[in-house]
Amino acid sequence: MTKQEASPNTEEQDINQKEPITAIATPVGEGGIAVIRVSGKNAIAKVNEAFRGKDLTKQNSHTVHFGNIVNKNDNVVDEVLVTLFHSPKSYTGEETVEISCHGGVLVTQAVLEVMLELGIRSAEPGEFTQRAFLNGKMELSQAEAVADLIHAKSQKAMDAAHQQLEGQLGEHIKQFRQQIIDATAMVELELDFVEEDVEFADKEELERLLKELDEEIDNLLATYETGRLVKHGVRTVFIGLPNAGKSTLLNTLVGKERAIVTDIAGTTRDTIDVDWSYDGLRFKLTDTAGLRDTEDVIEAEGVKRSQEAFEKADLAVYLKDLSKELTQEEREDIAQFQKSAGDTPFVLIGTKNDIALDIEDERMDYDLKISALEGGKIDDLKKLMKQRALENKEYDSSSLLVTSSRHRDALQNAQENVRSALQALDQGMTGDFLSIDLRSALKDLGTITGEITTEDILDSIFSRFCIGK
Amino acid sequence: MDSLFPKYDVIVVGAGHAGSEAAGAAAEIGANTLLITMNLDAIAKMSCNPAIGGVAKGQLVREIDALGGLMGKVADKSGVQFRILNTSKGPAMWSPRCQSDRALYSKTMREELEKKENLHFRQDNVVDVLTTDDGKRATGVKTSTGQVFEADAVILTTGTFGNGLMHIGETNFGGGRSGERASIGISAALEDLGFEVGRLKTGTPPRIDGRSINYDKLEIQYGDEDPNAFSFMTESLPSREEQLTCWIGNTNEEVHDMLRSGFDRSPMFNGTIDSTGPRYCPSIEDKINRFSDKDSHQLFLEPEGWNTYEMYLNGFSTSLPEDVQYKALRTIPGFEDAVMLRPGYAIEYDYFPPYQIRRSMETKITEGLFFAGQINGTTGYEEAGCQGLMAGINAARKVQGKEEFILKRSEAYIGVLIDDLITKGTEEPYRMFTSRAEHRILLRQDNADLRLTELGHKIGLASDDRFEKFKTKKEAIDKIHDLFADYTVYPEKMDPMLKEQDTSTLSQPVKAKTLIPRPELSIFNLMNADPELKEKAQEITTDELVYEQVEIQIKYAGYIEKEFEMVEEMKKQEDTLIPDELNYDKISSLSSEGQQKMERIKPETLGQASRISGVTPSDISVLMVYLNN
Repeated sequence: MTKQEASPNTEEQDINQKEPITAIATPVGEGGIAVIRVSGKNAIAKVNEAFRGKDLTKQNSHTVHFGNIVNKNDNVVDEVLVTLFHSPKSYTGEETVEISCHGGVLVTQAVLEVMLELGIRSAEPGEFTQRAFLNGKMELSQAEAVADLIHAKSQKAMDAAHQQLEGQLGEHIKQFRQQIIDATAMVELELDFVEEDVEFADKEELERLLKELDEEIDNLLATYETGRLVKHGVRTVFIGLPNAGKSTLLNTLVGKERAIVTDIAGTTRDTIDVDWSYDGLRFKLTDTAGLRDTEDVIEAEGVKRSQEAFEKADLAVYLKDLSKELTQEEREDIAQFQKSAGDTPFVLIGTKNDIALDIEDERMDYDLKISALEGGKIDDLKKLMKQRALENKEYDSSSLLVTSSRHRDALQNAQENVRSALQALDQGMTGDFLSIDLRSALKDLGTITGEITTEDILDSIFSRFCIGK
Repeated sequence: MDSLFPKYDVIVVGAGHAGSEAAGAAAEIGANTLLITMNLDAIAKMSCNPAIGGVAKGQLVREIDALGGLMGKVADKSGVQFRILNTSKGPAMWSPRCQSDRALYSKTMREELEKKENLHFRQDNVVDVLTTDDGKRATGVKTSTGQVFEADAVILTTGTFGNGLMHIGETNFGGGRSGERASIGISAALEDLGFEVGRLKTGTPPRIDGRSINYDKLEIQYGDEDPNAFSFMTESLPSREEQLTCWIGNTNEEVHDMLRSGFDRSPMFNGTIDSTGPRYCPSIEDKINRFSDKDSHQLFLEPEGWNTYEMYLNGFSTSLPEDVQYKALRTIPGFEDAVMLRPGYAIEYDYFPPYQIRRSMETKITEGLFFAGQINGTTGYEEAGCQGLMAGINAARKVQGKEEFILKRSEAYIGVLIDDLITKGTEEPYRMFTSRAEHRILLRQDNADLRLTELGHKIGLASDDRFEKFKTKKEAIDKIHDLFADYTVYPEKMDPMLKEQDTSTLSQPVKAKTLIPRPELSIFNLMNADPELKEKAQEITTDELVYEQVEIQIKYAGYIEKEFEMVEEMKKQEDTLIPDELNYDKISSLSSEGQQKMERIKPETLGQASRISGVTPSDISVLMVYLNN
């Protein structure tokens, strides 16, 4: 392709630049600044049309420039810093501009709209990564892992993402694959070489092999739940009566004011989600409106959402205000929550311990009593939350975790097919039918590691059995 | 160059199993065809074992027949014993095989070919392929005596004759087959055109005088009581009593020791032969060497024909020195007085790694030049025959200006075979196995006609008679299927039969179809239990094959549907064509191995690309996205 006037320093290269696309590259509403990325053919010249400052088309790659973004009426939308990347030395490999603007939702949106007005198309989800991948900037599996890295908000998730990059899961799955190939070879031998004087598949050995495989897939699948928690965070819901101190506790944990805290019961009318990491584990904390029957329509909606949040939670923390007497009604509520929590860990916390009533209700079994305002026992609570969140889950920072739902689905399908083969074996079905299940299982695993070929099966046969009359 | 002869549409070089089918098919669909062979008395000669079919190979023969090819018909007419293998397995595994009268097979094939109106014969030795100056277009062939034959398409089926070198012990000599000379010249001509040539090896066992065998020490093997034909058009076959028998014997340690004594003089072990032989058809010395813990190997003594004492010792393929062969042979129980008519030998021959051809069997380098059979690195008569058939069809269609005739992997073993060859190449002689077909359950020998006859008729290969017969059968299948789907059976009629077959009785009336999936029941059990059902069915047809087909379709419907779904899933990839001129270097995100392999193989579809070893799933994603843009 020819050198572009707009990119005087671009080297001759083979990147096929497509129409420019744009999107907000930072999470909406988070952080002090937001980045809007524009990638594609003539991206710099395009952005330059709405930029008031230096002529961007005359600047070098990897330089940062201060200026204003203006709309079509030449009104300033925001003060920005733009970073220029000439092709191919950018994330996508294409000519790219990154506009850092002020982080508010409205401002960011306004800058994005200016880009759209310039005729730049809004990017589809993942389109930047797709272009990067198409331009040889990364492998598909890498692209997946990179996406995970971007989303990894805590150390553990970083580890899991790194592990996948290095292919530990792949290695593990290759082992499964070899086991199935061997099993299939045993079955195929009997089909294709019926005229040979080889000893055919020993049904018991085949059964043993398949059962072992079933179990091993089970073990790997069991890590998915932990893997999911590590990757996506522990969905933690705080529940309790209005003004039990839920918002206060949340603010204490996160270390900044997120929820509005007042003494008026029912201040939190909606659920509020906050990300928080502790000791390498990520939590998604959900503060809920207090749970009580209410006539207030808006508050009633909040209560409904609280219920929903509770149902989806990985960890439920019930806060009981120790400065208030425990009513019969609340006691029943707690019992009800405990019951409906089922397998979800449920933690009962007494709050406002500093101003607790001097009545000990022996029927209540608190996991911990705290005082958010005075900071007492907060560390104990953090430890408790982590411990309860991961209880009954395999968790060891060195162990292999299945974190992707795609991988889980593939493993589940493979397992289903292995079980179906076991069933067919049990019913005395012949090898040609067993083989269908086994090959399906191989195909499922192939979606993770790549396709399996008949040659692999034949190789296994020829290396183990004397074929040929 | 001037030619004494008229110009042909298609010239087929070689009249083995590939050449015969190629010539027959090209002529049948209207191409004026010349078949040139080094020996007109050796048309479709069986160089190795006197048998057609077997597991996966039998399916290939049924497909050749369903399309209108010759092999099935000829095998039926010249068979001396017929068996269906693998009957204890599901229907996809049932595989017809026959022992053939070697001489009769050859004679019958020649008769069949001589019936073809547009087919001409010539005995000659082709030494050169003529092309346009740039080598891009085939124009004819030249023989060793300098004669030129012109044609628009040339099909090469040189088998093991291309620079054939035979080995017996430390002796080796040029030759294409026992008693026949090799063909020299063609390989060099093709190399000049830019083709890559490789070398493969195969072998054959000694032939024995049947009168010298002590059969008391061998186990007898009979043909089937109710023999099944290869051809959908064959009406009758010899009964079991009329058929010849085979014999099974075994080697022992003594035989192995005797063979081992000659290993130092074996061309296999002393480095004389370094080309690759098939792992699934190893020589006896190879078997002993690789699996030294096995103290016995099975041998099959097979008749060579109705009117000969010559027998073929299947399983004893060897290239050891003749004295070692002889002594070892006589150590086998039952073979103490054996008379060896011809020694076993190994043969090395040229092949052209098949990435050099397209799905249509046409070479990528030279337009109008087609390769079929062992020249592409395969082994086996059936593998050769089906390639010949496809090359013949496509050469004729090319001359006629018609589009390529391609069979998919989901349509036929033939499709699997060709796709495997051109996609994966082959390092050892390629033989078909059912496990190579991912849609095995769909590619059964019983439904080869349902899969292919209509296609064969459409291209003018399958005769009108065949097509009519197929249509009648297909209609009957549909009607019988409908009958069993609609017909209600009652406990009072069914239960006695169900009890007898050891399966649960009915609690209420059900549709007849719902009982068929039970493993204990056949469609005939139902008909026998309900005379009215039987009568209605027999009004439609009495053809047992129709009932067999309906039973298979209903019994295995779950598996068949699952397989169809998988075919459907892959359809988009299989149907996405990749342009020939695609420049893989331009797509920088391909893995470098994937890029190299695809550049070399030039896959014709995305599906084919996905099967190339070294091409990763992400390469396919890249290509998919690239082709969409």
